[in-house]
Parts: sequence; structure tokens; C-alpha cells
Amino acid sequence: MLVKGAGISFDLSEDHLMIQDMVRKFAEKEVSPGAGERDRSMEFPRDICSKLGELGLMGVNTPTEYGGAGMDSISYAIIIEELSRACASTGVVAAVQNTLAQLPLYRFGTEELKRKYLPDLAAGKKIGAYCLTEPSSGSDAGSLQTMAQKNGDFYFLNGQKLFVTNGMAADFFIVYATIDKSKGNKGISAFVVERTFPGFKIVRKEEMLGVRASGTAQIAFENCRVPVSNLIGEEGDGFKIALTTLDSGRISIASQAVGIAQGAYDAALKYSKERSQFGKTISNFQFVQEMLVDMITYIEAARLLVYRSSYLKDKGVPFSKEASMAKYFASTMSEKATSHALQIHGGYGYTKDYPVERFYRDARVTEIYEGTTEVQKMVIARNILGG
Amino acid sequence: MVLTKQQNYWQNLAKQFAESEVKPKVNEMEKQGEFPLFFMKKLGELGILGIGFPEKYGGQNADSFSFILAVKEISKVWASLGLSIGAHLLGTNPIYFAGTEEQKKHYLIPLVRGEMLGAFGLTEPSSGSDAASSRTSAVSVNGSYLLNGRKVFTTSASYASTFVVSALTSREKGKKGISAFILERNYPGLMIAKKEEKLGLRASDTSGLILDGCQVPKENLLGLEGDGFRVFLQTLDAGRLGIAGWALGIAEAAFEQMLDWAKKNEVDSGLMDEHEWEAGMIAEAATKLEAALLLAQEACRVKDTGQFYIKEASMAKYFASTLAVEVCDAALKIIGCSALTNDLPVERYFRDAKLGEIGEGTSEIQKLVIAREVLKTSGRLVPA
Ligand SMILES: Cc1cc2nc3c(=O)[nH]c(=O)nc-3n(C[C@H](O)[C@H](O)[C@H](O)COP(=O)(O)OP(=O)(O)OC[C@H]3O[C@@H](n4cnc5c(N)ncnc54)[C@H](O)[C@@H]3O)c2cc1C
Ligand SMILES: Cc1cc2nc3c(=O)[nH]c(=O)nc-3n(C[C@H](O)[C@H](O)[C@H](O)COP(=O)(O)OP(=O)(O)OC[C@H]3O[C@@H](n4cnc5c(N)ncnc54)[C@H](O)[C@@H]3O)c2cc1C
Repeated sequence: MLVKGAGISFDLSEDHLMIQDMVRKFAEKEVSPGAGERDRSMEFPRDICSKLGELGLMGVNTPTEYGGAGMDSISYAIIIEELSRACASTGVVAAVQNTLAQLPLYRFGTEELKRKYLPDLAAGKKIGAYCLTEPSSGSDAGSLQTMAQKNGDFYFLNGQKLFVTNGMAADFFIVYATIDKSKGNKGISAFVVERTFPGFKIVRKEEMLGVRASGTAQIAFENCRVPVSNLIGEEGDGFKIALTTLDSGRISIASQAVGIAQGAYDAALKYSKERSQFGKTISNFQFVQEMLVDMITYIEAARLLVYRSSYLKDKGVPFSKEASMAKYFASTMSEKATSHALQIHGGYGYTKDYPVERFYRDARVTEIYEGTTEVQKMVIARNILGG
Repeated sequence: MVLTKQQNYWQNLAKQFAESEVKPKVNEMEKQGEFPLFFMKKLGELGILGIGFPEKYGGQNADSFSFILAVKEISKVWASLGLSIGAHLLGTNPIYFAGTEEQKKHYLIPLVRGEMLGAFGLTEPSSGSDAASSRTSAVSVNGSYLLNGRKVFTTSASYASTFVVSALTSREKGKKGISAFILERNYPGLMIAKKEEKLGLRASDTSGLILDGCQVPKENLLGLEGDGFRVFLQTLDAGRLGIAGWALGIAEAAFEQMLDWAKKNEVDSGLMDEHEWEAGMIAEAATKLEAALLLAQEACRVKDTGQFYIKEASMAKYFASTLAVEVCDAALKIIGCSALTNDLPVERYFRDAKLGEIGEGTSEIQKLVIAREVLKTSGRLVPA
């Protein structure tokens, strides 16, 4: 017997709606107002991080026993979307803090590491970052060159990391290095490195097209001394940890892309109803309507893909293909939507008087970080073709 | 594409100048938002600003496509400089099209030679795509006109010596009440308003004009009262061709970055098994670049025969500006995150390119123009 409506629901739960409402209000009040200025000055939203921590939004999925909120993945997606809708930099800062910096610890770390690092990260008292990418190793993370050599009670790290989001402000860094290059993926290991460890160096701040307030840094390790106890998991577990983390990270970036697009859409919709040309508001023109319709249809489709991958993750079943689909679709959608939003603003869209030019720049990176679109396509292809 | 000797000459001259003199300065000047006034003077001396004008007005008497190719080469190196050329032409052409010999002697010749810098003020706060809805007024008083109103987005306004602006000499007549005036920078009542901070083209100046009882001598009316709208449409046709060349320059620059990356990463050695995605993007961009250049060439050909080329100019502008955004996008994707930092010029190309879909008539307006023109000739694209 088929029961009408059984087995599928498009409703967010009461709890999800409450979280959405709370974060939306917070973002409108605390995040949105300074977003343009932070974009210009490239100032990291340190105060916002503290406030997010107080609200329990910096350790959303982190278990409560380590100071986290222990919420589900859909809540997390909602939170990142709402923050990004106001400010994409804050969105990615929170995403890195929540997932890239904490997931490796709560999924793979020793009890000692969890107790030592998670509570402060989840409370937003300390900032976390994630160091995988190197000058000659981006999509192909297995080829990384940073070396970790064990000597007594310490590992000594040598190498360079690029594009470390939060890097300028972070206290703790999840760092991937190899203990033996000849072992390939199996030599890669993950460590927690503190900013104060001897041999840790910030090389420079990256000046970028978008997410300019995300404190993205280049980092160098020069015989950086890391206690043996700061190894996450076993030697050689690094590659597995990185991939597991990135699967979840992709949901974050997809949520960020949806948020950016939604922010741009909100602005364009409003503008189209205020601006008149040829004696009517431009919302009357079919070309303008077409852009708006395109935007919202794709935004809603992308959001459903995000929710589905989050739902699968919470269910504990494989969600790698779905996370890649969500990221692929949402990031390409976001680029198009922000371009439409700018276009609807005409010449004003090209200026910094309106937020759409910022959204337009911010959307680009969602197709690149945490696996480029091409890499997402490869993951999906592998999944549907097998092998 | 086969070029004439003349076209080759101007293309090469512009390219050499751009590569050897402009390129070394671009990063710093663009970062500081420093207006390329010096280079505009140089372009005048080289004859590049005067390519399409008759010798008797200080020009080079060359064909339109020579000019488009020169704009393309310069924009390829620095889009802000390319746009400054475009705006200068918008401020020069109306005088060429509608000016008296006296006005031509006084203004056109120094503009063509680059001794003066021109600007064009059509857009107003409430009048953008609908250029006919201009509100600036011009009232005739004692041998002068008094202009009152505001202009926005006037390219080069802070540095220009002359401005061609639209104003209504008669409110009742609608479009037919619009007149064109030549304003000099030091006229009382002319003020430069806020400078825009923009997504890209930071070294190009985009400012507003405030006309507060600006006193303009009667002799500075261009053509007759009410001629303005026609003159501006004609000016925009030529301007759109310029934007086509400008956008093509950016597109080619981004394309070359894509190719550099592909070569460095040996895309050619694994085209079919590892790099079909990149190959697809490269092939698409290469094909459309050729098509865009052909559209521009055809529009120039029609223009030089003296016929209307409204449709051709709009097609060339629409296609080239869409393409520039597309190619920049593809370049960002192919190159990956290093293209997002200002270590490579791609992020600049990407920010600059978007203006092509907005300035001198948005893409939506181009589509309306093209459709109207095509419907007028019952859909026959090629004259029977
Ligand atoms: C703002 C920003 C923040 C970032 N934050 C972080 C961070 O916090 N931590 C971190 O570790 N990294 C971070 N990154 C790095 C990011 O994750 C990498 O840039 C990304 O994985 C791509 O690497 P790449 O740029 O080296 O590109 P490459 O790997 O060099 O790729 C270049 C191009 O080749 C394509 N390509 C690569 N391999 C293949 C293949 N096998 N088949 C087909 N096509 C392929 C790609 O799709 C892309 O188009 C950040 C990047 C940016 C821009
Ligand atoms: C950097 C820069 C430089 C510029 N330089 C100059 C200059 O030197 N001189 C000058 O005079 N102007 C200049 N402009 C102004 C430019 O020409 C206008 O911005 C442009 O014509 C669009 O007008 P608008 O900005 O008022 O947009 P609007 O006309 O308000 O358009 C808003 C949106 O509505 C759409 N739209 C409007 N009407 C229709 C319709 N009928 N059907 C469908 N869609 C429609 C548009 O396509 C757009 O998407 C410049 C602009 C910029 C950004």
C-alpha cells in the first residue's frame, strides 16, 4: 500500500528552521554590515568568529563532549549558507574552522588531542586552518612534498603550503606531510601544528580575487618541531584523513556557493523592482525576468542537492558522489547567478556601491577550492562508472 | 584572417607600443588606479587616436578595422588604457559627425592628435539604457545656454579637457528635444562629482558631472537643437565597434594565459585520455575568437562603405563582450587557484571583461537592437 507523501520530505524540521532564523538574523546584524569593508581591507573577521563560537556555530558537528554543538549536517549546511549569503569570506572561514580543522581531530585524533584542541576551536577562542595544497601539488594531493622526519619525541617538518584559508589568524594547523616519499599516498601523515612551534613561518598573505577577508596565507615549515603526540591517527593515515575531510568539506563549499548566489539573487530581485527604465521597473522586461527565473530555479535545485548529500552523510551511508554533485552544480550555478545579478544592476553593478560585484568575485573560488570542478567530475565519473 | 598592409601596419604599431612601453607599467598603475594620461598623449603622437579620421583633421585616413585592431592590441595589454581610448572617441566622434568647420578646427583636430582628452556624458542617474529619458536641461539665455543636471559614469571625466554632453533644449519634444553640446573643462558651473570604485578597470576614471547652471556659449551647440539623439546613436554605433575590439583584446589575453598553462602542463601530450576537458575549452575559445574577429571585420567593412551598420556593430559588440567573459572564466578554471591571485593577470582580465556586457548598451539592449534590425529587413542577414 502506498501512503501519500511517505518516504520523502522537503520540510525542514522545527529545529532546522530555528537555526536558520537565528543565523540569518545574526548574519544580517553582525556579518553583513562590515562585509564590503573587510573585502577591501582584507581584514579577517576575528570578532565575528568569537561571536559565532559563543552561539555554538564554530563546532556545529563536533561532539558535545569536546565542546561542540553535536548538530547534524543539514544544520551545518544551513549555517554556512546563511553566513555566505551575507559575506562569503565569513562563510569559508567558518567552514574551514568547523570541518577542515575539526573533523580530522574528532574523527581520527587521540583522546588527548581532542581534549587539547577541540574545545577552544569549537568555542571560537582559537582559529584553525588546514594545510594540504603545495606549490606543486593541488588537485593531486598525493604528490605532496612536505617532509616529516621523526627524531626522538618530535617530528621535524620541512616544506611549503599555499592557500591556507584562515592561515593569517589561525592558532592551530592541520598539516599534511610525508614520512616517506617512496610510499606515495601511504606515506602521507597528518599533524596538528601550533603557530608557536619553532620553525613555523607565515610567508605572506595572498591577495586574491575573492574571499579576500579569509586570511589566506602561504606558510613555510623550517625544521618545524612537532611533538610525536600531535600525529593524527597513525603514520600513513594522512591521505585517508584528507579525503574523508574533503568529502565533508565539499558540502560546506556547495553550501557557501548556494549562499553567495542567494545573496546576489536577493539583491538583484530588490533592485529590479526599484529601478525604472523606459517608463517601467526593469522587472517587467522578459530578459530581466529570464535572469531572475534562471537564478532562483538553479539555486533551489542546488540547495536540494546540498541537503540530500548532508542527509546521506547523517545517515552514515556513502555520500561522496552526492557531495561532489552538490559542489559541482552549486559552484557553477553560483558563478552564473552572480553574473546575472551584476548584469541586472547595469552600470551600478560594476561599482562597489552595491554588493553584487563582491558576490561576483567571491563565487569564482567555489569552483576551485576543495577540488576543482574537473576533479568533482572525475569523482562522479568514477562513482557511476566504477573502478 | 587576411589583413591589408594598412591594417597590419596599425596592428603592429599598436602591439609594439603596448608591449614595450605600456606593459612594464601596467601592474603598478592599475594597482594604484593611476590614470594613463601620459599614454593617451603618446597614442595621439603615434597617430593611433586618429587612425579613422581624415588627414585634414589631423587623422591618418585609414580604415575602421585598422583602428579596431589597434584598440584590440592595446586592450590586450591594458584594458583600462583601451577603455580610455574608447571614451576619447565617444567624446571626439560627435564633433566629427555633426560639428561645424569652426568646431572641428577648435576641438576635433587637437582631440584627434591627442593634445586634448575627450569625454562623453550621456548617462544620468535615472537614464541609462533608456538614453532618451535624459533630464539635463539646456536653456538659452543671452547668447549662452545654461545647463542644469547630473551625469554619471562619465569615463575620464576627471582628466578630460572637453565633454560632449546631452541636454534637453525642449522638454515637450521627447527624443527630438535632445541636443548635444561641447563643454570645456573650465566652464563655470561644471563640476566633477564622485569617482566610482569599480570591480575592474581601476586606472580608468569613472566619475560624475554636475552641471549647475553651467554656461555654454551658443557656438558650442553641436548641429541643430534637437539633433542630439541622432548624433549620439551614430556615436554609439562607432563606440560599440570599439568595445568589440576592446573585448577581443581581453579575450585574447586570457586565451594566451590558458595556452601558456596548457603548454606548461603538457596538455597536448595527453589530449584524449587526460585532458579532453581542457581541450574542449581551448577549442571553443579559439573558434569563437575567430568568429568574433570576423564579425568585427564585417561591421567595419559595412561602416566604411558608408551604409548603416547598426546591426553589425551590435552583433560584433554583443558577441565579443560575451566571449571575453567566457574566455576569462575558462582561463580561471583551467589554471586553477594561482589564477585567482594577482600573481597572474587573469583575475584582472576577469574583473575588467564584465564591463563589456554593460557599457555602451548592455547585452540585453544589443539583443533588442539586433532583433529590431533583423525584423526590419525581414530576417535576411545577408543582403540578397
Ligand atoms: C581562496 C582559496 C582558499 C584555499 N584554501 C585552502 C586551504 O585552506 N587548504 C588547502 O590545503 N588548500 C586550499 N586551497 C587550495 C585549493 O584547494 C586548490 O587550489 C585546489 O585543490 C586546486 O589545486 P591547484 O590550484 O593547484 O590546481 P591544479 O591541481 O594545478 O589544477 C589546475 C587545473 O587542472 C585541472 N586538473 C587537475 N588534475 C586533473 C586531472 N587529473 N584531470 C583533469 N583535470 C585536472 C583542474 O581541474 C584545474 O582546472 C585554497 C585555494 C583558494 C583559491
Ligand atoms: C565603467 C563604466 C564606464 C562608462 N562610461 C560611460 C561614458 O563614458 N559615458 C556615458 O554616457 N555612459 C557611460 N557608462 C554608462 C553605461 O553606458 C550604462 O551603465 C549602461 O548604458 C546601462 O545603463 P544603466 O547602468 O543605467 O543600467 P539600466 O539601464 O538601469 O539597466 C539595468 C538592467 O536592466 C536591463 N534593461 C534595461 N532596459 C531593458 C529593456 N528594455 N529590456 C530588457 N532589459 C533591460 C539592462 O540590460 C540591465 O541589465 C559607463 C558605465 C560604466 C560601468
